Amino acid sequence: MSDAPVAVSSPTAPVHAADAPSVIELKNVSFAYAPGTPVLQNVNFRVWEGEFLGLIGPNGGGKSTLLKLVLGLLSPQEGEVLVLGRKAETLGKDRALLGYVPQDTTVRRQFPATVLDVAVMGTYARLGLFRRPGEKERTAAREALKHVGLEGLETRQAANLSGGQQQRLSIARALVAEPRLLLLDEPTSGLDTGGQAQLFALLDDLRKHYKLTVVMVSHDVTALAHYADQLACLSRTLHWHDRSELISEAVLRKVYACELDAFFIQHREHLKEFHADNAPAGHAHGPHCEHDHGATGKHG
Amino acid sequence: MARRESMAEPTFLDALSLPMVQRGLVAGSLCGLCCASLSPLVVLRRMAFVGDGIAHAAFGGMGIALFFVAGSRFEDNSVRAITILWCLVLGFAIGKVTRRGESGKLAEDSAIGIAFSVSMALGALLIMLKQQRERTYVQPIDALLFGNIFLLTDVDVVLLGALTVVILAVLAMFFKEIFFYAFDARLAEVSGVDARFIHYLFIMLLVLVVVISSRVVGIVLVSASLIIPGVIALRLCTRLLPAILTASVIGSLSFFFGMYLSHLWRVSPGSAVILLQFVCLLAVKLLLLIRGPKVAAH
Repeated sequence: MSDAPVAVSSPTAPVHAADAPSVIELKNVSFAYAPGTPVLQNVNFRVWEGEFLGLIGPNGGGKSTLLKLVLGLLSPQEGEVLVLGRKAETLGKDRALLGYVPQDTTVRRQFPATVLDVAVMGTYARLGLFRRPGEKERTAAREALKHVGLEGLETRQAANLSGGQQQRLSIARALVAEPRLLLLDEPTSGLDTGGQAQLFALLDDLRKHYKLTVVMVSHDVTALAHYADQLACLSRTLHWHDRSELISEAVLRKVYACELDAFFIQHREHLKEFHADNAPAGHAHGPHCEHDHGATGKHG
Repeated sequence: MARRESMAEPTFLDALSLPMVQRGLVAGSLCGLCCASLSPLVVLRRMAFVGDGIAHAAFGGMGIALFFVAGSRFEDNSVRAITILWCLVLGFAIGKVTRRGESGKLAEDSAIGIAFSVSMALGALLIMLKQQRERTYVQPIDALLFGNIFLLTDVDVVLLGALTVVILAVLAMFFKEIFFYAFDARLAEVSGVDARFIHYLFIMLLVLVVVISSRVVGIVLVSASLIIPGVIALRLCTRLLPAILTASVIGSLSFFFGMYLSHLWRVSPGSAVILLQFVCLLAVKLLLLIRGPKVAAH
């Protein structure tokens, strides 16, 4: 732990080569809602294709702000936020490539939509203006609903589903858009232990099936440490803690207590397994895995 | 005198032969259709207060128009045009405020509340100044507030007809975007749907509906006709399109009969229409109490 609180004003990603495909890239990003009180300061950050990144951090550490930047809802005052190689604010209807599952997936009471209607919404951006969803879109939606375990509930009113089902409906809606990346904002907060296990199992399955990159913001560090390939902790800045080990209580205590440091832990074995499983897909994983090894010595 | 006699024992058919009543019924039905077709969306987007705000702004617009165009009257086209223009500008401002959401310095309901009360106060002030200046009662203020079937002209009917076409066209063309926007505007935006465009489009439609309809039912009651049919329809329907159609039928029928009652009882159209809609709402609530809640039907 001795190497944790090093100067972190401009940490660079130590692990991967610049030419490996990154899904999200933040370059020297700073953001403040009001001048003088930065929420994010000089954050450098990359998420690589196929990874499952868990993002943790104390309240007010900038997790939601980071998500908003990636979604293009906010623009950074300094630096750049690149999503799939393009500036996040300019994605337009290609935002559909980012499947977003908000923290609150509750469908408003009496909202006049069936489960299928909501799932089909995922196809709207791709359809563009003036084109209506047809049988093709409905079939895709039914398939996604089946995948998340909502088969047979298509004609139910969406607001009448249980909380866990509504969350899975939101995931299905995101999946229908055929996203490259799934962003989940504190998805485990409303779920019991069984529901959480189900959710992680589902995500694991979806990652393999849809070759998704997953970014999950959560307070559930234990679960993330178990399932995520990498863990990043955000508290105004991001520290890349390049160690292949499980997160320890001591680390966490430090992170949540200290204001400016953040930790980053990798579970490279998980990632390798994932890439091995998906080897035929061939998204140029080779080089970035090699660089994994090359760069490990840098911090070790 | 002949007219008075026919109204002494007014049957429905008698009343229908009067051009004023014909105009009122046509204008009323169109007005009901316009307001009601947007009402499920107003209810779902929780924009009832916005409708109210625009209605107050309309009064300000009328005041400005009446004051600055010397000798102008309520039914003049210049007054109409200036009112619509004023409300479109304020509507754009509301669009900005409501999109800004929590990040703004002033909560959106406070901002709207202030802007539109001020607009209304300005309107009242200017109308009274005009009355002093021109030494006439331009027209009774209660016509502006509660509507007046006698003040409707053919221009109102044409405007309402055009507005109906525009609303139906917009709903048909952008149905899926509006659906997603009503479901969750933020989510629609991050999902790649141009929610900003739909937001402004919707507010502008609301502005036009409120400004043009306020001449029929008056500015105090116009916002109610943007809410009640939607509330009824959302209690009855499980999908958006049937809800919009149901609300539209309820809206046009309640306006049609409301206008007729207004003529029959010599009361302002606003109160007749809104009370009729409220009776509908009570009836539906009662029906649902007896028959149980809605079930998904396809």
